[in-house]
Amino acid sequence: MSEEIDLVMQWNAAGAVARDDVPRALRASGAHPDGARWLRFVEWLTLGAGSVLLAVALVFFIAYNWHAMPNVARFALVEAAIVVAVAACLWRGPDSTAGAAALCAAAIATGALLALVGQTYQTGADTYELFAAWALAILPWTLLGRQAPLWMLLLAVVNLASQAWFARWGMASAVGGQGALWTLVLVNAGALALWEIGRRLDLREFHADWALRIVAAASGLAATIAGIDAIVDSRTAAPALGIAWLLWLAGIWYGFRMRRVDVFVLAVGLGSVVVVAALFLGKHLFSAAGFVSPLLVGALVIGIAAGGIVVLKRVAQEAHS
Amino acid sequence: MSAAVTWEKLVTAGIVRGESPATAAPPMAWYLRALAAVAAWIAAICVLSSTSILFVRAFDNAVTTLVVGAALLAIGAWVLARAKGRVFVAQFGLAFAIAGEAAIGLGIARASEPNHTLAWALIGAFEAIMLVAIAERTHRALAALAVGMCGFGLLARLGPLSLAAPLTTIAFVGAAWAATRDARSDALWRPASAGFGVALLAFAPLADLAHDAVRWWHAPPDTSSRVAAVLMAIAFVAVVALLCRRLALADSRVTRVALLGAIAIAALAYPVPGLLAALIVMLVAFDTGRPALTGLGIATAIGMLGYYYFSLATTLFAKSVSLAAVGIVLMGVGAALRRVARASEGQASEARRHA
Repeated sequence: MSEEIDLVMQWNAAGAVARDDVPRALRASGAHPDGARWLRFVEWLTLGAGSVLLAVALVFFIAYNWHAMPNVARFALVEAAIVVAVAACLWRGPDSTAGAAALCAAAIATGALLALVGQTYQTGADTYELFAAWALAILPWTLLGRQAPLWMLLLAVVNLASQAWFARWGMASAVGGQGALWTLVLVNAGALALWEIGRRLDLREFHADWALRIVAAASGLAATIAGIDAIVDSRTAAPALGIAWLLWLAGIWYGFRMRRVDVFVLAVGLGSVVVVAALFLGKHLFSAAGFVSPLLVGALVIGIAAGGIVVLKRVAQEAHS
Repeated sequence: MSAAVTWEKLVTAGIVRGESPATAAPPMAWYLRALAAVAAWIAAICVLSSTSILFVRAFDNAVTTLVVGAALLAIGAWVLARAKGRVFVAQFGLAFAIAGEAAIGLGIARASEPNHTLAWALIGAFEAIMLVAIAERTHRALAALAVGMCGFGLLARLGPLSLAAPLTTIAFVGAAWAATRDARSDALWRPASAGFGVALLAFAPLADLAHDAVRWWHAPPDTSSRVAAVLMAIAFVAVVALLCRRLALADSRVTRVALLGAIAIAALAYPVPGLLAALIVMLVAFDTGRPALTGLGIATAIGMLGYYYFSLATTLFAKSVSLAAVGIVLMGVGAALRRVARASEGQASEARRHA
C-alpha cells in the first residue's frame, strides 16, 4: 500500500495525476481501501473485537469473584459462554470471520473456566499449571480451527506457562542462572521455525503475513535479550546465550534469505544485530580513547545499520524482479 | 506491485492517459525506516557523549549547550540535504540532527529554569519548526513524536493532562488526511501523522496511568478527565462521520447506521482507557493505507485491556459490564452495517440490470 501511495504522489509531482484526482487515484490504485475492503475490515474489526471484548468481560466477571452468585450459576455462565461460542463457530463455520472470532472467544473463555475452577475449589494448582492446562485445552481447537489468531493466543499462553513455571520453582538459577531466558529464546525461535515449516507445508493458517511478523518480532525480542545478557552478564554461562543468539541469526538468514525471502524477518534480525552490536561496541570501546570512542561506536552502529539496510533493499528488489 | 500495474489501474479508472512517467526507486519500507531511526538514536547518544568528552564544559550552561546543539543540528541538516538516497549519509545526518535537537532542548530547558511550562512550550515550538524545516521522512516522524511529547509535558505542567489525547487526536487525524491532498502535503504530513499517531497511542494510555497514579496517592482527581472523555467520544464520532463523507457513500442508510453505532460505542467505551484512541488510530490508519499503524492500534488496545484489569478506576464488575456492552454493540453495529451495505449493493445491481 505504501508503495502505491508513493507512486501516485510521484506522478502527482510529475504532473501526470492532477491535484484534484489524487484522492480518487489513491483509492483506484488500491493504496486506500475501497468500499468492499472497508466492509471486510469492519466485519473483521467488529466481530473480532466484539468477541474478544465479550470473552475478556467474562474473565473480569469471574475475577470479580461475585459472591452473590452461587458456584453452579458461575460455572453454568462460563460453560454456557463456551458452548454458545463453539456452537456459533460450528454454525458459521470456522473459516468464516464470525466462526473464527467465536472460536477465539471460546479459547479465551476456556482460560476463564480454568481460573474459576482454581478459584472455587482452591485446587492448589500453581499459575503455570493453569496456563499449561489452558494451552493443552485449546490445542485441539487450534489444530482443528486452523486460524492464525488462535495460534497467536496459544503461543502467548505457552510463553506465560513456561515463564510462570520458572518463577514458581525458583528455576531461574537453572542453566547457569538463565533458564527462563533460554526458555524464552527456545519457545519463540521454535515457534518461528514451526510457523515456517507450516507455511512450507502449505497449511492455510500459516500464510497470514501479519501473524508471521508477530512471531518473528517475538522471536527477535527474545533473541536480542539473550544477546544483551551475553554481553552484560558476567556469569560463566552467559557466553552460551551469545552462541544461541548467533545461531538464531544464522537460522533467520538460512530460513528467510536462502530458502525463501522475507525482508521483514531479515529486518528483525538486522535490528537485533544493531542493538547487540551497539552494546558490545559501547562496552569495549566507549572508555578506550577519549572523545573518539563514542564517535567510532556511533559510526560503526550507523555503518552496520546502513549496510544492512542497503543489503535488505537489494534483497527486496531481487525478490520483486 | 509494479508501477506499470498501478498505472494501468489509474488508466482503467479514467484518471490518467498514455504512457506512465518514469518513477524513482521506491523509498524504504516502514520497518527499515524504523530500524534506521533506532540506529540513528543510538548514534545520536554517541555523538552527544563524544561532544561532552571533547568539550568538557559544553553542557554546563544554557548558552554553550545551545551553541553546541545548533552546531550539531546544522551539520545534521546540511548532511541530510545532501544525502540524496545514500543510506549511510542519511543515517549520519539523522544522528547529528537528533543529537543537535536533544542538545538544543536541554539548552532551552536550562535557559527557562525554573519555568518548566515555558520550557515544554518552547521545545515543542522548536520541534514543530524542525518538523517543517528538515524534509526527511524519518526525521519528520520523530519530530512529530517530539511535538506530541512536549504537548503532553506542557499539559502535565498546566494541569489538564487528560486533554493530551483529544488534542493529539486532532493533530493525528488532521495530518493523516492532509497527507492525501497532493505530493507536497504527503511529503510533510504522512511522516508527521505517523509521529502523531504513535504519540496518541502512547499518551492516551499514559494520561490514564497518571489518573490511576493519582488514585494510588489519594490525591484529588484531574477535574478535566470527564471533559477529556467527552471530547474523545466526540472525536470518535466525528472521525466516523468524516470517514463516511470521504468514502462518498451512495446509500445514506449506511452512514446513519455507522453514525448511530459510533455514538453507541463512544458512549459505552469511554471508561475503557485508551480504547477510543486506539479505535481512531485503527480506522484512520486503515483509511490511509497504513497497516503498521493499524497493527500498532490493535496492539495498544490489547495492552490497555490488560492494564484495565489492574486499573483502580472502578470495580472489576463494572469493568466487565462496560466491556461486555461495548462488545455487544460492536457486533450489533457490524451485523447492521453488513446487512445494510449488502442490501444497498443488491439494489444497485438490480437497478443496473433494469437500466
